[in-house]
Amino acid sequence: MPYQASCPQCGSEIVFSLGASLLKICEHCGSAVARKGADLANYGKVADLVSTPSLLSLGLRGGYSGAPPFTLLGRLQLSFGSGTWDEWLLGFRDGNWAWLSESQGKFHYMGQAPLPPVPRFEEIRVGATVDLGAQGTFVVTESREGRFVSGAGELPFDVAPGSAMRYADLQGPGGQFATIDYGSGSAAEAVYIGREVTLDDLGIKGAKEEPAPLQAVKGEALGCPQCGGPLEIRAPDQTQRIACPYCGSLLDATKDLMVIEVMTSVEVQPLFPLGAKGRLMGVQWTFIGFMERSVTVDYVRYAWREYLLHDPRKGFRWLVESKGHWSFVEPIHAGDASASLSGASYGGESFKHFQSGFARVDSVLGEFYWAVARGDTTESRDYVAPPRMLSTEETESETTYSLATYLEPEQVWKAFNPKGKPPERIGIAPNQPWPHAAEMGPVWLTALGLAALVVLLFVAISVTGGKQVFSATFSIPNRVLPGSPEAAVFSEPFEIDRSGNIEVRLEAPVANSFVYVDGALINETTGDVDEFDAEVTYYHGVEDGESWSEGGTHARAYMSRVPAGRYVLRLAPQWEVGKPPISYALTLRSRVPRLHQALLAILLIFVWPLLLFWRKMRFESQRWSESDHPWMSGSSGDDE
Amino acid sequence: MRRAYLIYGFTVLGLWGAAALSGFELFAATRGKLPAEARTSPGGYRSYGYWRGGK
Repeated sequence: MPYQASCPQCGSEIVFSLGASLLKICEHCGSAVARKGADLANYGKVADLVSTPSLLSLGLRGGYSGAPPFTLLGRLQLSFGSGTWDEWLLGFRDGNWAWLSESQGKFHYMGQAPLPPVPRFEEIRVGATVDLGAQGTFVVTESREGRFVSGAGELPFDVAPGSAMRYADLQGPGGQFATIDYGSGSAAEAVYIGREVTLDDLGIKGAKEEPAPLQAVKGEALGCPQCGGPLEIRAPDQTQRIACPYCGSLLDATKDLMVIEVMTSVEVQPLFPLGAKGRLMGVQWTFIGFMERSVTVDYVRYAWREYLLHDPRKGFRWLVESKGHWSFVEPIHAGDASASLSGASYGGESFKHFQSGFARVDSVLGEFYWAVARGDTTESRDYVAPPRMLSTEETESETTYSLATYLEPEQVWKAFNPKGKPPERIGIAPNQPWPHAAEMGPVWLTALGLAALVVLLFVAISVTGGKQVFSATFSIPNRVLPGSPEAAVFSEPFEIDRSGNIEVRLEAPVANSFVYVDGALINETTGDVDEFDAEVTYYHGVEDGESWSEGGTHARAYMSRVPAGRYVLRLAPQWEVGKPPISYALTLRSRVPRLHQALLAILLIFVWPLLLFWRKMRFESQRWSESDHPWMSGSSGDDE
Repeated sequence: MRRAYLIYGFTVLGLWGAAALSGFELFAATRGKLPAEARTSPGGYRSYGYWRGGK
């Protein structure tokens, strides 16, 4: 039910069209008028609206996700010192309301939700998780004290312009965002939950196609107030800081290029020029900003370079180069990732902690969408699952999550086409994939298949292969001493028709005794002698009620490379004195498969995958030598 | 690389298969020589007093 009154400042009619509205900015005099029951309070004139690149204006209408149609009834401008953003009040036809947050070209639809018990403002820490009840567990990504700098239309709270407004932003599962509103105190007053939306999602008609320019139309050249060098602003609607590419001075893009830091030279130059365009991941990016950052560990500085890429529709991404290794970095929703000291997970993938440190901004060049400054330091943690690396960066008031994907240098060179060749890669990058990673699985599978084939073929050839060339059973004469000449026998001549090895199988029905045969295979034509021996030993018994046995009733011996020909056997048996066996049998087969050869073949089959595995371990050892968790101290090298 | 490994693997398999079927042994045994006279003289293995046991 609309509430009409007269402005206590100028007397003009003011209308609170939403029942929940408590503050109205008079359209005529700009005074903030608060509704206090039946009375009105005048909080004085609010400051003019800060020029922001908003596409919206009061009075626009839309509809969202089955809710009643809404109208943009109010605009709140908040500042946290180095930036200002807009919050729009959506008033629904049924009297309900929601916020539409607009920042850096992104919109978040936020509806009020039941307030669960949450930490007080002083207790809330970025990176910590907060249970928001049925909506799930959220990660605190930002905690700040902003200031109500200006507004227009009507607002659902009774706060004087200029008041401090404390809040915490959170990200939850499934792309959800949340804001805990602390007002100007310590206790939470409200929680809003929603998600990122587009103006198309909201069905808003009549929004501007392009944001109002801040200082320059896109691509317009300006001059550096410090050195006079021409500046080209490529994302004027979102740029907050510009580092002059000629003198390096840092300028405030939101305050008419006010000089923030005077420099006289540019310390580090990118490998391709600002403004270069390149297609990566299917998007045409423009390179607009460059910075060198570093961490220092044990007095050693480790530096890397970050290339800020921009696309009007996709927003911002990074190309990061370190020691000749490149990664494409994109921001990810903190609520969909989890990170601890030992590991992290995102999108069903697990990441291992690689290293932590304090990353410092050393040099900047070009334009940036946040208030960057040399010396800015964040606490960073990197987690790897090559070719990806999940990183968190945390300050006292904000945390961000990003996902890097390793790029081959040639991909970057092909995209941006700079002069010369890419810098040579040094060492192994944290997220550099092992070059043969895709081959490991198939090679091991192939090896297992080949080994299984060897086993199958060995069994098949053992059963069906080979040729029996001799078989006979010999009796032991009575009253003959073991090993005596009288015990020796000669076989009938037999033919071996093809050269190859010979398997001798000795079988004897021994029990608690042995038979040992000293044999010779004699070629009748050449007189060549191949000697062999075989022993059958079998003992058994019962001891302490337990039966036992050892040995067996047959044994094998082999002769190698026996030529084809006519042969006889000379056999000289020995046995345990007093326990002569009744007989012993001898069978000779030619061209039989050997077990040790099959095992050797299997070993050779696995040499290749084992070598691959060894190289992978060496690669990983080198990768982790640069981490907080080296496999071994002093590991180095430049494998691969 | 997988193709190269397939070639290598099947080469190993083929060489082993040929060795298994042909009775190839990597190392030759030391082979003795029986003098001709020992084979032909009385008391040599051809004229040894009795053959026994062979069936």
